[in-house]
Amino acid sequence: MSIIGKISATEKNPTSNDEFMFWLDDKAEVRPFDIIKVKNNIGNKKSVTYALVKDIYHMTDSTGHLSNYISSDFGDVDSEPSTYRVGVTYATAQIITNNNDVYMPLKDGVGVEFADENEIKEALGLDTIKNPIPAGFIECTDGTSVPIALNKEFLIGPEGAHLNISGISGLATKTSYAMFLLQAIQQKSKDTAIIVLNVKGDDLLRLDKPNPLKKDEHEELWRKSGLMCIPFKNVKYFYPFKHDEEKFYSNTSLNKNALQEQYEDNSLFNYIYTYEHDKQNLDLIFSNVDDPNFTMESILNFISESSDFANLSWNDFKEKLSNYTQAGTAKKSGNEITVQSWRKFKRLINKSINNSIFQTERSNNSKYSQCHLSDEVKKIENNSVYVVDIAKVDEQLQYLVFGDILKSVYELKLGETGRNEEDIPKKIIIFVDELNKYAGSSSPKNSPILKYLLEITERGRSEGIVLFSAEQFKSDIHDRIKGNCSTHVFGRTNAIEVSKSDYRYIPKVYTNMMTRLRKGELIIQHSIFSTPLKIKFPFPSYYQREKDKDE
Amino acid sequence: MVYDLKKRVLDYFNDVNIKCYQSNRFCLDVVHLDSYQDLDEQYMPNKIWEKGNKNKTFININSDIKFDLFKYFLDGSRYTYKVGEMITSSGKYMPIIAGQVAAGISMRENGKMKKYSLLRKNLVVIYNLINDLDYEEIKCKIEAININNVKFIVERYKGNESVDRPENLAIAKIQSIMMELELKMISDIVKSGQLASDEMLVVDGSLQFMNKGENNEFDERMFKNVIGISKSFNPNLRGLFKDKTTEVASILTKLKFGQRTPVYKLDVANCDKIIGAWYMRIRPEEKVRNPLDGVIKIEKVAVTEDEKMNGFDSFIIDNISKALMEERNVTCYGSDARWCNHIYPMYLTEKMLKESFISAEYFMSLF
Repeated sequence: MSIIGKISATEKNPTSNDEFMFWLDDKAEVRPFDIIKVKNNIGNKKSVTYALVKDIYHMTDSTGHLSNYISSDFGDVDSEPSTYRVGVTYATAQIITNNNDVYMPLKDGVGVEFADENEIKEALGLDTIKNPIPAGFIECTDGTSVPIALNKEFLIGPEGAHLNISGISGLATKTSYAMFLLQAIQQKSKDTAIIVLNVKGDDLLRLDKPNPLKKDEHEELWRKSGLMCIPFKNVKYFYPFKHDEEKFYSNTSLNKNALQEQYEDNSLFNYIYTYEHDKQNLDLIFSNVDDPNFTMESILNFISESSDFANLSWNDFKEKLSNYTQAGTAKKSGNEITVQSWRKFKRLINKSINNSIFQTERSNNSKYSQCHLSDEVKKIENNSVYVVDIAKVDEQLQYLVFGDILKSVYELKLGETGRNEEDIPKKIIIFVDELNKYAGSSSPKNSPILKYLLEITERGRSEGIVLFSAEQFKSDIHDRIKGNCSTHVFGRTNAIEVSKSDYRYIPKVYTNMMTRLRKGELIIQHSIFSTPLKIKFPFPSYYQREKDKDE
Repeated sequence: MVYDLKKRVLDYFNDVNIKCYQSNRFCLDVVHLDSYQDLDEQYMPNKIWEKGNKNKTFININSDIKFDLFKYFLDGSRYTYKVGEMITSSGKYMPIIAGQVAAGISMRENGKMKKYSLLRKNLVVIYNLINDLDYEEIKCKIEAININNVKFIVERYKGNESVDRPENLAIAKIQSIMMELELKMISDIVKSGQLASDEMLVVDGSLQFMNKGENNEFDERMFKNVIGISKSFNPNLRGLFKDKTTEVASILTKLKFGQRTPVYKLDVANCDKIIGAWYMRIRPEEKVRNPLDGVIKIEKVAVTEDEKMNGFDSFIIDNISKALMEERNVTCYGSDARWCNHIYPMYLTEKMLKESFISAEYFMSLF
């Protein structure tokens, strides 16, 4: 290890117990997020202070641009000086920790070095983490690459829970990273079940198939992380039912061959909703409808309680609604809901329940692979992965399906299913992309999905329900949901986003880095790390998308 | 000897019963303006001391070729402080002056400046006329002091205080010690064989200083690859031109950017050495404020017999001038009021020396 620079404590920029500056050797290169070390000896007490590089500057003795202009022969761009201006590159660094509990500021002139692998582990407390969940690598400019791990108890409870990933789409980083963490959890934990929602394309619909693009060096990185480069195990896929024999009655963008494989493996299911089984979930369809006067809620209550609405099929239900929308029926039937409200309700719900997932009754014919999603969720077992495809259903129905899952998981964990408690997975992780749809900062206050999500993020930690979520813009997400996440991951984002108040407490240099992250690079904030870290993670171990084959 | 932390430097005077007052302490450099180094200089009337250019007033030195002849840059620097007053046994009331002096050489490698060598001294200078034994005792005690690696050297100043103020006499003593340091540095670098005709040493200021210290004798051969550059010079010098009353500045205002004057032979009092001097303008005259801004004075010692007899080779003077033109960038514009007449490596050397000094507050508090 060689010295790359020295501490610089000046009148204007003294060192503190929190931060310091150091000048750099002319040939030294550092980047923000590099981890450095400095000896901090106080009397006979020897210690090492570790710090994270923040801003890097270069300055010269030039008093201004005019001075530089004049020094270039009064503005001659071709002028070459005989002597280069004396200049210095210096950097600010944020102290992470001291290995001997020294809180004294560093003294001027002490040498600064890159920390090596073991020292980085010591600096971040990686060497003392119990139940580590591998979470990628830190790479320093000097070539040191250190696998990092998150504390399981802080990632999925009980100490802390919930993870949120934000970043612009198109770089495939958010989902890949979530899948990497989930894979790590599946490998390192035996009492956890995972439910993944596929919201677009077929990216998450081959989780149990190995990645055809996988190379030896990718496997090496997985091994270095302490993991095997394998696809997910025990995966079941749930698709919306559609009357389409060719595609195994699944409404999905996954191709026929893949579906056939899943069908043959008995991992393909098509979910349906029947009136009798699911009428109490109809409120979920209205998750994003503003209902300031609670008229929709009144109607839904009326439907669930009135004997008039019992034992129907969806078609009967529609007919029944038509009756209620006739002028004068409200008074006749004795309820106080106006005809106008019934008409609005009918208009909103008709559009949705025309979808083929709404069936009169579940068929036992195995070729249809029909199931009630809520029943399946309540049967989820340790170490299994459920992938629920909602990409091809419209927005209102996505609310229904996601809400149904949340509700079922909640019921399962609250012991309302009669299952033996020891068989129920201790932790159930739900991963959903585009969280802003379900828990946006402008979601209606009485949205039932928002209610469930708040319940999960605020109390789910103790129940063992964990939310892994992703979205493009963190600022779009409901404050209480964000506030309850113990792990935040930031992918590349734009300058407008980082100017929002969510990023106020992240040092400017890091938010600026967020606008320049490359594919596969993320910044992670985790409860046990005192500072954000820039990480990379291994190539996906599962088959991501169809075009992968051709690349 | 262990330094008594309760004692200050001046307390040692009282030890030998010299009455000493810790009067108002202040930095003298703020109060006294240095005079021109070449104040008492004279030119040999109308003596152009180069082989060519005998009838020219100005010579063009513009060149498109990049020249780099200078590798080493020497400067000396000093701060002087009045730190107290003492009463001698004969009843004289004389100031005690302290000073920090430094001389240093920086070197340039691939356009980047580095320290080559640096000498530092802290001085206490006291009036000459005190008892020799008392002086020896004070000197011995003060020179044994070591406060956080700050050490002192005690010297005496002499001169006629009825002609000049004693402060100036003391400053002159400190100045001469600084010059000795500079001379020593030149001598050391020459002996080490570092200098060459394309790796010359540039000295800040006039080369005549060698004549002013107590070392009147210097070996002129040391100056083979040395030139001196003065940022400022006495504008009222006469004798360069046929019209003997014309002062040098009145002609130099007409000097254009990229021109030099011929080399004139200096008449240095009490010195048998031949020194040639010429002026050149290194900044476009229309871009600067004052008529003499950007005009520098260069001095060179005649070393060879030929130079002593017939004057300098015009080709060499031209080359040195061309190389100096190249030194005009970058500038210390904004950092130093004398930027027009400064060359940047010299400015950095000066900065290196100044950075080696202890702060005035701390230094004065030791007395």
